This record gives sequence, C-alpha cells and structure tokens, in this order.
Amino acid sequence: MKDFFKLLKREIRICMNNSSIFFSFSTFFITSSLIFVFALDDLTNIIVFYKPVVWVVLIFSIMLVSENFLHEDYSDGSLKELQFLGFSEETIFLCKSLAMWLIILIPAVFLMPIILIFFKLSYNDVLKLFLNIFISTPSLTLISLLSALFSIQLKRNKIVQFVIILPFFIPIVIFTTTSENFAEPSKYFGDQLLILIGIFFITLPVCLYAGKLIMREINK
Amino acid sequence: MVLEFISVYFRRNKRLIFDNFNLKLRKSQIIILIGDNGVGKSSLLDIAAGILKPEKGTIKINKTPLEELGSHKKEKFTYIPHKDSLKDYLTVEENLTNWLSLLESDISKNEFYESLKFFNLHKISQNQVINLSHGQRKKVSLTKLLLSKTKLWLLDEPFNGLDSSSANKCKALIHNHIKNNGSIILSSHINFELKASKKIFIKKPKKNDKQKSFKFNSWDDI
Repeated sequence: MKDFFKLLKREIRICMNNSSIFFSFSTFFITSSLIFVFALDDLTNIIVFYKPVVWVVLIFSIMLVSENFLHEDYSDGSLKELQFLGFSEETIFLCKSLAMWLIILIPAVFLMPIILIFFKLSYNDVLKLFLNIFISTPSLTLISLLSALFSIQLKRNKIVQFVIILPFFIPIVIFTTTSENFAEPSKYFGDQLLILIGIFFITLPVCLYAGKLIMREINK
Repeated sequence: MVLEFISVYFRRNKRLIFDNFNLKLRKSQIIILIGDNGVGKSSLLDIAAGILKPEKGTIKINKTPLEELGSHKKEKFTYIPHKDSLKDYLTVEENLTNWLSLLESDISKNEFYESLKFFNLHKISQNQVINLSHGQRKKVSLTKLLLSKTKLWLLDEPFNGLDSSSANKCKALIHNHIKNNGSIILSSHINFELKASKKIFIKKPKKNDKQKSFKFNSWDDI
C-alpha cells in the first residue's frame, strides 16, 4: 500500500507538470462538441442529440489523452524503470489510471457549463451528466489505458487496437445515454448509476489483469 | 558471488539469444559485455534486472534467486538502462528527487547537491529536462549512481553521448565503486579498456545453426 501511494504521488506530480495533456483533452472535447452543434441543421431539437454527442466525444478525448499518457512513459523508459524498481504491473496500471482520472477527468467536469450553453441543457440535465461522467469515467479511463497499452504492444496498429477495445465501451455508452426512454426516468436514473458502478467493478479486475499481461509482453 | 547466471536459456522474437549461458560476477569486479547492436547485451541486463524472464535457468543476486527479491530488488542493485527514464516537463532536480522517493532513500540535501556537482549538473538543476542535450540527459541518469547506495550496478551503454571529460569522470566513478567493494556489469558496442575489467564478447547467432533458430515442433514449444 505504501508503494501504491508513493507511485501515485509521483504520477500526480508528473501529470500536474505536464499541463499539455489536460489542455489537449479539454480543447478536443470542447471543439468537437462545438462542431457537432454547428453540424446540426435543426437547433430546436438539439437537446435530443446531446447525450450521444457528449459521450462519443468524451470517449475519443479520453482515448487521445491516454495514448499520450502511456506512449511517453514507454518511449522514455520509465515504464521499464518502474518495473525493475519492483512495482507490480497492477500497481503501475492502477496508479496511472487513478492519476489520469484525478488530474484530467475530474477537472473536465468543470467543462460541463460550456456544454450546457452549447446544447441548451437544463440544470437537472447537467447534474445528471455530471453524475454520469463522475461514475463512468473510471471505467472509461481503465479501458482507454488498456487500449493505449495495446497500441504499444501492437506497434501502433490502430485497426486491431480499435477492433479489440472499442466493443468494451459499448455497455457504458448504452447505460449512460438511455435513461430518457423509460417511463420513470428519475427512478431509472438511480438504477442506471448502480449498473455503471457494477460495470466499473467488472472492468477494474479485467483491465488490471489484461494490463499486467500486456505490460509483460511489451518488454519481450 | 554478487550476480550469477546459471544455465540461462532465452529467446526473443523467436530467435535464440542465450543457450546455457553462465556468468559469475564477484565482489570488486567489472564485466564488460561487448558486441554489435542487437546481439542481446541489453537483453542480458534486462534479464539481470528481472524485466525479462528467461525460459530456463536461474539468476541469483547475493545467492538469492531474483524472483524471491520482489520489491527488495531496488535495495540490491541499480540499473541504468539505455533509455534515460527522465520526464521532459520536470526539472533535473525534480526527476532525481522523484526517483529517490521511489527508492525510499534517506539521502541528505547536502549529499544530493554534492552529487549534482560531480557532472556539473548543479548549474542546470532547475532546467526542464526537455531543454537538455542528449549528453546532459545521460549525465542526469548517471547521477543516479552517485545517489544510490547499492553495491551492484547494471549499466547499459553508460558512455553513449558523453563528451571525453564526462566519460573520464564516469570511468573514475566506476573505479571508485570497485575500490569500495562494488561490482559492475556494463554493456558497450565499442571495445574499450577499463582497469580490472573482464570482457565478454557476445556474437550474433548464426542463421544456419540449428539451435539458433526456432522451428515449430509442438504447442509445448510456444
């Protein structure tokens, strides 16, 4: 546990010094959402489209950031260094995910008011979106970091990477975008959050195990 | 015996690198691994550091098998790999303090700044690593040796990118470590002289050698 916090502290310090990661994430997220708004012909129905747009853009923004996040570690040799310093692959993967979530995705929640302006959302919708993002981004972070590890292992073969990893995002997208279709949206919203928490508890061990195996393969 | 390779068999990318490889590194001894690029020098150091696992054989550090050391590996040896492991957006000082915090080292501030002076890094200690030259980055990563208290050093191409005066300083550092009962295994693609050193020439495996190429016989081979 001591090792975990030591490594987490290091990762947070590195993240905070490299502000370009957060800026590339927020710029991509805001501009892509804005492009969608401009692309829509009928702005009276804009509120109908906000969920799929926000979630697809969010997933791609996270994937973009996680690529930079791990490729840097791989190319400068620090991924290897952490391994020979005796940190387990699971600890490395978990610390990186947690640091990315804390330093990049939590501040991203503050971008929500901008989305509110773009899509003319009510306060209630933004609150739901905020809760959804807060609960589902840990799973998205884990999956996207796994995807980034895959891209290192497959020597940047993007097609294979996307074919293997993208399906893992589907359940999260389904449960974050469908609440309005049910008769009692407010009641369903609570269940939906519980399902997202459940998805996180499935994603966590699967990603840790897969991440460990890929990290070992990378060095071979 | 500080470091021991016993009957190590290792294959990389379906190519045999080491077959029944044995090596013994004693106290106050330097072993220089010499060979062309891609012959497996770095792989050998990676195996010694526990990053790569051989298919057969044992690696022992101070008579303890490497797998049993776990997170105590960092107390037994210091490994300076070819890539410098430095973070571009951190300063020289931050990079080194980050590394020390992972080691749980109790080095004093005074000792830390004295170590920086060895390669004249004290003048650039507040510079971000992204603004340093290749040689300066190499010096930062070699400074880790001055900050470490381990007896065994594993150095991958330590003289690469260093100017002649810094290379001489590095040699002096190596000799000083040997005098203090330390042991070093280092790799180089250039044949050079170092006092009290033992050289091992690693050659590229021949293509027609049956043992050197991997052929699929059964699923058990994979």
